[in-house]
Amino acid sequence: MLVDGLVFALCGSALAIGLAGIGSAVGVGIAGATGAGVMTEDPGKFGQVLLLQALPGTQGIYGLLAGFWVLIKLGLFGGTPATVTVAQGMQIMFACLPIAIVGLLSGIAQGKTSAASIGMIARRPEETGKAIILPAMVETYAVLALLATILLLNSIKL
Amino acid sequence: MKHSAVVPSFREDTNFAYLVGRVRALESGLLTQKILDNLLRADDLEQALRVIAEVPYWGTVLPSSVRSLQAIDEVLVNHYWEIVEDFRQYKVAFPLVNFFTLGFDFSFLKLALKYHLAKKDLEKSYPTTLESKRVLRFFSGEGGEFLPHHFEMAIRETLTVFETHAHNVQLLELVLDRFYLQEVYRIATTLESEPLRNWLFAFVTFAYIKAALRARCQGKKPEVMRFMYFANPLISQESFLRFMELPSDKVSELVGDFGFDFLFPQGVPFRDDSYYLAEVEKNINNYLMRFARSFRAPVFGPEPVFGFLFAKGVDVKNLRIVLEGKYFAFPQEELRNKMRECYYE
Repeated sequence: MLVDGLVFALCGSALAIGLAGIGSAVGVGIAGATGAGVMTEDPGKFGQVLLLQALPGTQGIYGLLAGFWVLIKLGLFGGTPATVTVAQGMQIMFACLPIAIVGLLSGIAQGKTSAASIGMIARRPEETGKAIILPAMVETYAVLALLATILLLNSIKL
Repeated sequence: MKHSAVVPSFREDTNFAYLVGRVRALESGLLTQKILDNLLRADDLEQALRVIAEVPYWGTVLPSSVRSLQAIDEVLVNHYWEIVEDFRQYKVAFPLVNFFTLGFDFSFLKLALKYHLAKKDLEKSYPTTLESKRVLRFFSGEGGEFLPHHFEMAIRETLTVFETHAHNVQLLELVLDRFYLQEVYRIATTLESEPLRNWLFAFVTFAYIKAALRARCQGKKPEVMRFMYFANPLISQESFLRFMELPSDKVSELVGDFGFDFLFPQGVPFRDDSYYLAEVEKNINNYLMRFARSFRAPVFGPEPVFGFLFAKGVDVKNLRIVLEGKYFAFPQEELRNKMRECYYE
Protein backbone atom coordinates (compact mmCIF):
# COMPACT_ATOMS: atom_id res chain seq x y z
CA MET A 1 0.00 0.00 0.00
CA LEU A 2 2.82 2.35 0.96
CA VAL A 3 4.51 1.82 -2.41
CA ASP A 4 1.26 2.27 -4.40
CA GLY A 5 0.59 5.68 -2.85
CA LEU A 6 4.09 6.79 -3.71
CA VAL A 7 3.61 5.67 -7.31
CA PHE A 8 0.57 7.94 -7.72
CA ALA A 9 2.37 10.85 -6.10
CA LEU A 10 5.42 10.40 -8.32
CA CYS A 11 3.15 10.07 -11.32
CA GLY A 12 1.69 13.49 -10.46
CA SER A 13 5.17 14.95 -10.18
CA ALA A 14 6.17 13.44 -13.53
CA LEU A 15 3.02 14.76 -15.21
CA ALA A 16 3.61 18.27 -13.91
CA ILE A 17 7.21 18.31 -15.12
CA GLY A 18 6.58 16.39 -18.35
CA LEU A 19 3.42 17.99 -19.71
CA ALA A 20 4.32 21.54 -18.76
CA GLY A 21 7.77 20.90 -20.26
CA ILE A 22 6.25 19.68 -23.52
CA GLY A 23 4.03 22.78 -23.66
CA SER A 24 7.04 25.02 -23.19
CA ALA A 25 9.17 23.14 -25.69
CA VAL A 26 6.48 23.39 -28.38
CA GLY A 27 5.78 27.05 -27.57
CA VAL A 28 9.44 28.05 -27.56
CA GLY A 29 9.89 26.08 -30.79
CA ILE A 30 7.09 27.92 -32.60
CA ALA A 31 8.25 31.33 -31.39
CA GLY A 32 11.84 30.38 -32.21
CA ALA A 33 10.98 29.40 -35.78
CA THR A 34 9.25 32.74 -36.36
CA GLY A 35 12.11 34.55 -34.62
CA ALA A 36 14.66 32.81 -36.84
CA GLY A 37 12.68 33.94 -39.88
CA VAL A 38 12.70 37.55 -38.67
CA MET A 39 16.43 37.43 -37.85
CA THR A 40 17.25 36.01 -41.28
CA GLU A 41 16.21 39.38 -42.65
CA ASP A 42 17.00 41.58 -39.65
CA PRO A 43 19.62 40.17 -37.24
CA GLY A 44 19.45 43.39 -35.21
CA LYS A 45 16.18 42.22 -33.63
CA PHE A 46 17.89 39.43 -31.68
CA GLY A 47 17.30 41.02 -28.25
CA GLN A 48 13.56 41.53 -28.70
CA VAL A 49 13.11 38.14 -30.38
CA LEU A 50 14.97 36.31 -27.62
CA LEU A 51 12.80 37.90 -24.94
CA LEU A 52 9.60 36.90 -26.72
CA GLN A 53 10.89 33.42 -27.49
CA ALA A 54 11.76 32.86 -23.81
CA LEU A 55 8.26 33.72 -22.56
CA PRO A 56 6.65 30.31 -23.26
CA GLY A 57 9.57 28.67 -21.43
CA THR A 58 8.19 29.63 -18.01
CA GLN A 59 5.51 26.89 -18.02
CA GLY A 60 8.27 24.29 -17.99
CA ILE A 61 9.83 26.02 -14.98
CA TYR A 62 6.46 26.10 -13.17
CA GLY A 63 5.98 22.40 -13.88
CA LEU A 64 9.47 21.65 -12.56
CA LEU A 65 8.76 23.72 -9.45
CA ALA A 66 5.53 21.82 -8.78
CA GLY A 67 7.26 18.50 -9.40
CA PHE A 68 10.07 19.34 -6.98
CA TRP A 69 7.49 20.53 -4.43
CA VAL A 70 5.95 17.05 -4.53
CA LEU A 71 9.36 15.37 -4.16
CA ILE A 72 10.22 17.55 -1.18
CA LYS A 73 6.80 16.87 0.34
CA LEU A 74 7.41 13.14 -0.10
CA GLY A 75 10.78 13.53 1.63
CA LEU A 76 12.58 11.87 -1.27
CA PHE A 77 15.49 14.32 -1.14
CA GLY A 78 16.09 13.55 2.58
CA GLY A 79 16.50 9.83 1.91
CA THR A 80 13.56 8.74 4.06
CA PRO A 81 10.36 8.77 2.02
CA ALA A 82 7.16 9.70 3.83
CA THR A 83 4.45 7.09 4.25
CA VAL A 84 1.88 7.72 1.50
CA THR A 85 -1.46 5.97 1.27
CA VAL A 86 -3.19 5.38 -2.07
CA ALA A 87 -5.69 8.15 -1.25
CA GLN A 88 -2.90 10.59 -0.39
CA GLY A 89 -0.95 9.57 -3.51
CA MET A 90 -3.99 10.21 -5.67
CA GLN A 91 -4.60 13.53 -3.95
CA ILE A 92 -1.06 14.58 -4.78
CA MET A 93 -1.44 13.41 -8.38
CA PHE A 94 -4.68 15.37 -8.86
CA ALA A 95 -3.10 18.40 -7.20
CA CYS A 96 -0.42 18.31 -9.91
CA LEU A 97 -2.93 18.27 -12.77
CA PRO A 98 -3.66 22.04 -12.92
CA ILE A 99 -0.09 22.98 -13.75
CA ALA A 100 0.38 19.86 -15.91
CA ILE A 101 -2.64 20.52 -18.14
CA VAL A 102 -2.60 24.33 -18.11
CA GLY A 103 1.19 24.29 -18.55
CA LEU A 104 0.89 22.11 -21.65
CA LEU A 105 -1.86 24.12 -23.31
CA SER A 106 -0.79 27.60 -22.24
CA GLY A 107 2.80 26.92 -23.29
CA ILE A 108 1.65 26.18 -26.84
CA ALA A 109 -0.82 29.08 -26.85
CA GLN A 110 1.83 31.45 -25.54
CA GLY A 111 4.27 30.24 -28.19
CA LYS A 112 1.77 31.14 -30.89
CA THR A 113 1.07 34.53 -29.36
CA SER A 114 4.80 35.15 -29.02
CA ALA A 115 5.26 34.23 -32.68
CA ALA A 116 2.56 36.75 -33.59
CA SER A 117 4.28 39.38 -31.43
CA ILE A 118 7.64 38.64 -33.06
CA GLY A 119 5.93 39.29 -36.40
CA MET A 120 4.59 42.53 -34.95
CA ILE A 121 8.01 43.83 -33.85
CA ALA A 122 9.45 42.83 -37.22
CA ARG A 123 7.21 45.40 -38.85
CA ARG A 124 6.81 47.83 -35.95
CA PRO A 125 9.86 47.71 -33.66
CA GLU A 126 8.56 50.76 -31.78
CA GLU A 127 5.67 48.61 -30.44
CA THR A 128 7.90 46.15 -28.55
CA GLY A 129 6.26 46.97 -25.20
CA LYS A 130 2.79 46.09 -26.45
CA ALA A 131 4.17 43.04 -28.24
CA ILE A 132 5.48 41.67 -24.93
CA ILE A 133 2.26 42.36 -23.01
CA LEU A 134 0.11 40.23 -25.33
CA PRO A 135 1.87 36.88 -24.78
CA ALA A 136 2.45 37.83 -21.12
CA MET A 137 -1.35 37.80 -20.67
CA VAL A 138 -1.32 34.05 -21.40
CA GLU A 139 1.19 33.68 -18.57
CA THR A 140 -1.48 34.71 -16.05
CA TYR A 141 -3.25 31.39 -16.42
CA ALA A 142 -0.08 29.36 -16.01
CA VAL A 143 0.66 31.33 -12.81
CA LEU A 144 -2.89 30.70 -11.55
CA ALA A 145 -2.52 26.99 -12.30
CA LEU A 146 0.80 26.88 -10.42
CA LEU A 147 -0.82 28.67 -7.49
CA ALA A 148 -3.69 26.16 -7.52
CA THR A 149 -1.27 23.24 -7.58
CA ILE A 150 0.78 24.65 -4.66
CA LEU A 151 -2.34 25.40 -2.58
CA LEU A 152 -3.71 21.92 -3.27
CA LEU A 153 -0.39 20.28 -2.41
CA ASN A 154 -0.17 22.28 0.82
CA SER A 155 -3.65 21.19 1.83
CA ILE A 156 -2.67 17.50 1.69
CA LYS A 157 -1.55 16.18 5.08
CA LEU A 158 0.96 13.32 5.00
CA MET B 1 -17.87 37.70 -56.07
CA LYS B 2 -17.52 39.44 -52.73
CA HIS B 3 -14.18 38.53 -51.16
CA SER B 4 -15.62 38.73 -47.65
CA ALA B 5 -17.93 35.87 -48.59
CA VAL B 6 -15.18 33.54 -49.73
CA VAL B 7 -12.73 33.94 -46.86
CA PRO B 8 -13.26 31.04 -44.47
CA SER B 9 -11.41 30.09 -41.29
CA PHE B 10 -7.64 29.60 -41.39
CA ARG B 11 -5.56 26.57 -40.52
CA GLU B 12 -3.00 27.06 -37.80
CA ASP B 13 -0.16 25.70 -39.85
CA THR B 14 2.95 26.26 -37.77
CA ASN B 15 5.09 24.74 -40.55
CA PHE B 16 5.10 28.22 -42.03
CA ALA B 17 6.28 29.90 -38.80
CA TYR B 18 9.81 30.52 -40.12
CA LEU B 19 8.65 31.82 -43.49
CA VAL B 20 5.98 34.01 -41.91
CA GLY B 21 8.71 35.48 -39.66
CA ARG B 22 10.78 36.29 -42.73
CA VAL B 23 7.77 37.74 -44.48
CA ARG B 24 6.95 39.98 -41.53
CA ALA B 25 10.48 41.39 -41.59
CA LEU B 26 10.41 41.80 -45.37
CA GLU B 27 7.01 43.48 -45.30
CA SER B 28 8.63 46.56 -43.78
CA GLY B 29 10.35 47.01 -47.16
CA LEU B 30 7.12 47.04 -49.16
CA LEU B 31 6.06 50.26 -50.83
CA THR B 32 3.38 52.34 -49.17
CA GLN B 33 1.09 54.99 -50.60
CA LYS B 34 3.22 57.65 -48.90
CA ILE B 35 6.37 56.52 -50.72
CA LEU B 36 4.47 56.34 -54.00
CA ASP B 37 3.15 59.88 -53.45
CA ASN B 38 6.72 61.11 -52.96
CA LEU B 39 7.75 59.34 -56.14
CA LEU B 40 4.84 60.85 -58.05
CA ARG B 41 5.86 64.35 -56.92
CA ALA B 42 9.31 63.92 -58.48
CA ASP B 43 9.92 66.18 -61.48
CA ASP B 44 11.72 63.62 -63.62
CA LEU B 45 13.22 60.12 -63.62
CA GLU B 46 16.45 61.28 -62.04
CA GLN B 47 14.65 62.86 -59.10
CA ALA B 48 12.38 59.82 -58.75
CA LEU B 49 15.43 57.57 -58.60
CA ARG B 50 16.93 59.82 -55.92
CA VAL B 51 13.70 59.50 -53.92
CA ILE B 52 13.70 55.71 -54.18
CA ALA B 53 17.41 55.57 -53.29
CA GLU B 54 16.57 57.20 -49.96
CA VAL B 55 13.84 54.67 -49.11
CA PRO B 56 15.19 51.98 -46.75
CA TYR B 57 15.54 48.61 -48.48
CA TRP B 58 14.59 49.89 -51.96
CA GLY B 59 17.61 52.14 -51.85
CA THR B 60 19.86 49.08 -51.95
CA VAL B 61 17.75 47.31 -54.57
CA LEU B 62 17.57 50.24 -56.97
CA PRO B 63 20.51 52.58 -56.45
CA SER B 64 20.33 55.96 -58.17
CA SER B 65 23.27 54.94 -60.36
CA VAL B 66 20.86 52.82 -62.45
CA ARG B 67 19.59 55.26 -65.06
CA SER B 68 18.22 53.64 -68.22
CA LEU B 69 14.68 52.27 -68.32
CA GLN B 70 15.91 48.91 -69.58
CA ALA B 71 18.41 48.61 -66.72
CA ILE B 72 15.75 49.61 -64.18
CA ASP B 73 13.35 47.03 -65.57
CA GLU B 74 16.03 44.37 -65.44
CA VAL B 75 16.94 45.23 -61.84
CA LEU B 76 13.29 45.11 -60.76
CA VAL B 77 12.52 41.82 -62.52
CA ASN B 78 15.67 40.18 -61.18
CA HIS B 79 14.96 41.46 -57.67
CA TYR B 80 11.47 39.96 -57.74
CA TRP B 81 12.76 36.74 -59.23
CA GLU B 82 15.43 36.40 -56.52
CA ILE B 83 12.81 36.69 -53.79
CA VAL B 84 10.48 34.19 -55.45
CA GLU B 85 13.33 31.74 -56.05
CA ASP B 86 14.53 32.14 -52.48
CA PHE B 87 11.11 31.20 -51.11
CA ARG B 88 10.85 28.34 -53.58
CA GLN B 89 13.72 26.58 -51.83
CA TYR B 90 11.48 25.86 -48.85
CA LYS B 91 9.64 22.62 -49.50
CA VAL B 92 6.65 23.70 -47.42
CA ALA B 93 6.08 26.78 -49.60
CA PHE B 94 6.82 25.09 -52.92
CA PRO B 95 3.25 24.63 -54.24
CA LEU B 96 2.21 28.23 -53.61
CA VAL B 97 5.50 29.73 -54.83
CA ASN B 98 5.04 27.61 -57.93
CA PHE B 99 2.26 29.97 -58.98
CA PHE B 100 4.72 32.87 -59.05
CA THR B 101 7.46 30.96 -60.89
CA LEU B 102 4.96 29.73 -63.49
CA GLY B 103 4.53 33.26 -64.83
CA PHE B 104 8.28 33.56 -65.34
CA ASP B 105 8.51 30.07 -66.88
CA PHE B 106 5.77 30.62 -69.43
CA SER B 107 7.12 34.06 -70.37
CA PHE B 108 10.47 32.40 -70.98
CA LEU B 109 8.86 29.62 -73.01
CA LYS B 110 7.05 32.15 -75.21
CA LEU B 111 10.26 34.00 -75.89
CA ALA B 112 12.35 30.88 -76.40
CA LEU B 113 9.79 29.38 -78.79
CA LYS B 114 9.64 32.57 -80.83
CA TYR B 115 13.43 32.63 -81.08
CA HIS B 116 13.51 28.95 -81.95
CA LEU B 117 10.91 29.32 -84.69
CA ALA B 118 12.73 32.35 -86.06
CA LYS B 119 15.91 30.24 -85.95
CA LYS B 120 17.66 32.75 -83.71
CA ASP B 121 19.73 32.16 -80.59
CA LEU B 122 18.67 33.43 -77.19
CA GLU B 123 21.33 35.96 -76.33
CA LYS B 124 20.55 36.59 -72.69
CA SER B 125 19.58 34.47 -69.73
CA TYR B 126 16.09 34.96 -68.36
CA PRO B 127 14.64 34.29 -64.93
CA THR B 128 13.04 30.85 -65.07
CA THR B 129 13.09 27.55 -63.22
CA LEU B 130 13.67 25.81 -66.56
CA GLU B 131 17.15 25.10 -67.86
CA SER B 132 17.34 27.08 -71.09
CA LYS B 133 19.74 24.66 -72.81
CA ARG B 134 17.50 21.74 -71.98
CA VAL B 135 14.44 23.60 -73.28
CA LEU B 136 16.23 24.45 -76.52
CA ARG B 137 17.32 20.82 -76.95
CA PHE B 138 13.72 19.78 -76.35
CA PHE B 139 12.53 22.16 -79.08
CA SER B 140 14.99 20.54 -81.49
CA GLY B 141 13.49 17.15 -80.65
CA GLU B 142 16.66 15.71 -79.20
CA GLY B 143 15.96 12.25 -77.81
CA GLY B 144 16.18 11.61 -74.11
CA GLU B 145 15.51 15.22 -73.13
CA PHE B 146 12.58 15.75 -70.85
CA LEU B 147 10.91 18.64 -69.05
CA PRO B 148 8.19 18.75 -66.38
CA HIS B 149 5.06 17.16 -67.87
CA HIS B 150 2.94 20.31 -68.30
CA PHE B 151 5.79 22.14 -70.04
CA GLU B 152 6.36 19.18 -72.37
CA MET B 153 2.66 19.07 -73.22
CA ALA B 154 2.54 22.84 -73.73
CA ILE B 155 5.54 22.86 -76.08
CA ARG B 156 4.36 19.84 -78.09
CA GLU B 157 0.88 21.25 -78.60
CA THR B 158 2.18 24.73 -79.39
CA LEU B 159 4.52 23.38 -82.06
CA THR B 160 1.74 21.22 -83.52
CA VAL B 161 -0.70 24.15 -83.64
CA PHE B 162 2.00 26.31 -85.19
CA GLU B 163 2.60 23.73 -87.93
CA THR B 164 -1.07 23.03 -88.63
CA HIS B 165 -2.22 26.67 -88.59
CA ALA B 166 -0.07 28.38 -91.18
CA HIS B 167 2.70 29.35 -88.75
CA ASN B 168 0.47 31.74 -86.84
CA VAL B 169 2.61 33.20 -84.02
CA GLN B 170 -0.46 34.63 -82.30
CA LEU B 171 -1.73 31.10 -81.63
CA LEU B 172 1.57 30.19 -80.03
CA GLU B 173 0.95 32.68 -77.22
CA LEU B 174 -2.68 31.66 -76.79
CA VAL B 175 -1.88 27.96 -76.45
CA LEU B 176 0.86 28.70 -73.93
CA ASP B 177 -1.53 31.00 -72.01
CA ARG B 178 -4.01 28.13 -71.87
CA PHE B 179 -1.42 25.77 -70.39
CA TYR B 180 -0.38 28.47 -67.95
CA LEU B 181 -3.94 29.02 -66.72
CA GLN B 182 -4.60 25.29 -66.66
CA GLU B 183 -1.55 24.83 -64.42
CA VAL B 184 -2.64 27.70 -62.16
CA TYR B 185 -6.04 26.03 -61.86
CA ARG B 186 -4.38 22.71 -61.05
CA ILE B 187 -2.25 24.37 -58.35
CA ALA B 188 -5.42 25.92 -56.90
CA THR B 189 -7.12 22.56 -56.63
CA THR B 190 -4.14 21.06 -54.81
CA LEU B 191 -3.83 23.82 -52.19
CA GLU B 192 -5.23 23.08 -48.75
CA SER B 193 -5.78 26.75 -47.99
CA GLU B 194 -9.29 27.75 -49.01
CA PRO B 195 -8.56 31.51 -49.25
CA LEU B 196 -5.63 30.85 -51.56
CA ARG B 197 -7.67 28.44 -53.64
CA ASN B 198 -10.38 31.06 -54.06
CA TRP B 199 -7.79 33.70 -54.87
CA LEU B 200 -6.32 31.55 -57.64
CA PHE B 201 -9.78 30.74 -58.98
CA ALA B 202 -10.49 34.48 -59.12
CA PHE B 203 -7.17 34.97 -60.89
CA VAL B 204 -8.02 32.42 -63.59
CA THR B 205 -11.54 33.82 -64.08
CA PHE B 206 -10.27 37.38 -64.38
CA ALA B 207 -7.50 36.26 -66.74
CA TYR B 208 -10.16 34.99 -69.15
CA ILE B 209 -12.26 38.13 -68.86
CA LYS B 210 -9.18 40.29 -69.37
CA ALA B 211 -8.09 38.23 -72.39
CA ALA B 212 -11.57 38.46 -73.92
CA LEU B 213 -11.71 42.25 -73.47
CA ARG B 214 -8.20 42.61 -74.88
CA ALA B 215 -9.20 40.46 -77.86
CA ARG B 216 -12.10 42.87 -78.47
CA CYS B 217 -9.70 45.85 -78.41
CA GLN B 218 -7.23 44.16 -80.71
CA GLY B 219 -9.92 42.85 -83.05
CA LYS B 220 -8.99 39.20 -82.52
CA LYS B 221 -11.56 36.69 -83.67
CA PRO B 222 -13.33 34.53 -81.08
CA GLU B 223 -12.40 31.39 -83.08
CA VAL B 224 -8.76 32.23 -82.51
CA MET B 225 -9.32 32.87 -78.81
CA ARG B 226 -10.71 29.33 -78.44
CA PHE B 227 -7.09 28.16 -78.38
CA MET B 228 -6.69 29.86 -75.04
CA TYR B 229 -9.62 28.16 -73.38
CA PHE B 230 -9.48 25.01 -71.26
CA ALA B 231 -12.65 23.41 -69.87
CA ASN B 232 -13.16 24.63 -66.32
CA PRO B 233 -16.10 25.20 -63.99
CA LEU B 234 -15.22 28.87 -63.37
CA ILE B 235 -16.10 30.28 -66.78
CA SER B 236 -17.70 28.31 -69.59
CA GLN B 237 -16.38 28.46 -73.13
CA GLU B 238 -19.72 29.90 -74.18
CA SER B 239 -19.41 32.79 -71.70
CA PHE B 240 -15.79 33.36 -72.66
CA LEU B 241 -16.72 33.66 -76.31
CA ARG B 242 -19.78 35.78 -75.53
CA PHE B 243 -17.50 38.41 -73.96
CA MET B 244 -16.01 38.84 -77.43
CA GLU B 245 -19.14 38.43 -79.51
CA LEU B 246 -21.55 40.74 -77.68
CA PRO B 247 -22.04 44.36 -78.85
CA SER B 248 -20.24 46.89 -76.63
CA ASP B 249 -23.38 48.04 -74.82
CA LYS B 250 -24.15 44.47 -73.66
CA VAL B 251 -20.72 43.65 -72.19
CA SER B 252 -21.44 45.44 -68.89
CA GLU B 253 -24.59 43.34 -68.49
CA LEU B 254 -22.66 40.11 -68.95
CA VAL B 255 -20.05 41.23 -66.45
CA GLY B 256 -22.91 42.12 -64.09
CA ASP B 257 -24.37 38.63 -64.53
CA PHE B 258 -21.08 37.24 -63.21
CA GLY B 259 -21.28 39.66 -60.27
CA PHE B 260 -18.11 41.42 -61.39
CA ASP B 261 -19.50 44.98 -61.82
CA PHE B 262 -16.64 46.29 -59.68
CA LEU B 263 -14.21 45.50 -62.52
CA PHE B 264 -15.58 48.27 -64.71
CA PRO B 265 -15.02 51.96 -63.95
CA GLN B 266 -18.05 53.39 -62.13
CA GLY B 267 -20.42 55.43 -64.29
CA VAL B 268 -18.37 55.03 -67.46
CA PRO B 269 -20.03 53.03 -70.25
CA PHE B 270 -17.97 50.15 -71.63
CA ARG B 271 -15.69 51.01 -74.53
CA ASP B 272 -13.49 48.79 -76.70
CA ASP B 273 -10.31 50.74 -76.18
CA SER B 274 -6.98 50.30 -74.45
CA TYR B 275 -7.64 53.04 -71.85
CA TYR B 276 -10.80 51.32 -70.68
CA LEU B 277 -8.99 47.96 -70.67
CA ALA B 278 -6.17 49.49 -68.59
CA GLU B 279 -8.79 50.61 -66.05
CA VAL B 280 -10.30 47.13 -65.93
CA GLU B 281 -6.83 45.60 -65.46
CA LYS B 282 -6.16 48.01 -62.61
CA ASN B 283 -9.48 47.13 -60.96
CA ILE B 284 -8.73 43.42 -61.29
CA ASN B 285 -5.34 43.97 -59.72
CA ASN B 286 -6.83 46.03 -56.89
CA TYR B 287 -9.52 43.43 -56.26
CA LEU B 288 -6.89 40.68 -56.01
CA MET B 289 -4.84 42.91 -53.71
CA ARG B 290 -7.79 43.53 -51.39
CA PHE B 291 -8.45 39.80 -51.39
CA ALA B 292 -4.79 39.10 -50.51
CA ARG B 293 -4.96 41.80 -47.83
CA SER B 294 -7.94 40.06 -46.22
CA PHE B 295 -5.71 37.09 -45.34
CA ARG B 296 -2.67 39.16 -44.36
CA ALA B 297 -3.23 39.08 -40.59
CA PRO B 298 -3.12 35.35 -39.67
CA VAL B 299 0.12 34.40 -37.96
CA PHE B 300 0.36 30.86 -39.26
CA GLY B 301 -0.28 29.19 -42.57
CA PRO B 302 0.75 29.93 -46.15
CA GLU B 303 -1.52 32.96 -46.68
CA PRO B 304 0.83 35.74 -45.46
CA VAL B 305 3.66 34.27 -47.58
CA PHE B 306 1.48 34.23 -50.67
CA GLY B 307 0.16 37.71 -49.95
CA PHE B 308 3.68 39.08 -49.58
CA LEU B 309 4.89 37.58 -52.85
CA PHE B 310 1.89 39.01 -54.66
CA ALA B 311 2.42 42.39 -53.00
CA LYS B 312 6.06 42.35 -54.07
CA GLY B 313 4.97 41.80 -57.66
CA VAL B 314 2.56 44.73 -57.41
CA ASP B 315 5.35 46.91 -55.98
CA VAL B 316 7.50 46.11 -58.99
CA LYS B 317 4.55 46.94 -61.27
CA ASN B 318 3.96 50.26 -59.49
CA LEU B 319 7.63 51.20 -59.66
CA ARG B 320 7.69 50.39 -63.37
CA ILE B 321 4.62 52.57 -63.97
CA VAL B 322 5.97 55.55 -62.05
CA LEU B 323 9.57 55.37 -63.29
CA GLU B 324 8.53 54.82 -66.89
CA GLY B 325 6.01 57.65 -66.52
CA LYS B 326 8.68 59.99 -65.17
CA TYR B 327 10.99 59.06 -68.03
CA PHE B 328 8.31 59.95 -70.59
CA ALA B 329 7.23 62.98 -68.49
CA PHE B 330 3.61 61.86 -68.06
CA PRO B 331 1.50 64.19 -65.88
CA GLN B 332 1.40 63.28 -62.17
CA GLU B 333 -2.38 62.74 -62.11
CA GLU B 334 -2.29 60.41 -65.10
CA LEU B 335 0.33 58.31 -63.35
CA ARG B 336 -1.60 58.37 -60.09
CA ASN B 337 -4.65 56.94 -61.87
CA LYS B 338 -2.57 54.04 -63.12
CA MET B 339 -1.13 53.10 -59.73
CA ARG B 340 -2.19 49.85 -58.08
CA GLU B 341 -3.23 49.65 -54.43
CA CYS B 342 -0.47 48.82 -51.96
CA TYR B 343 -0.50 45.83 -49.57
CA TYR B 344 -0.22 48.18 -46.60
CA GLU B 345 -2.08 51.45 -46.96
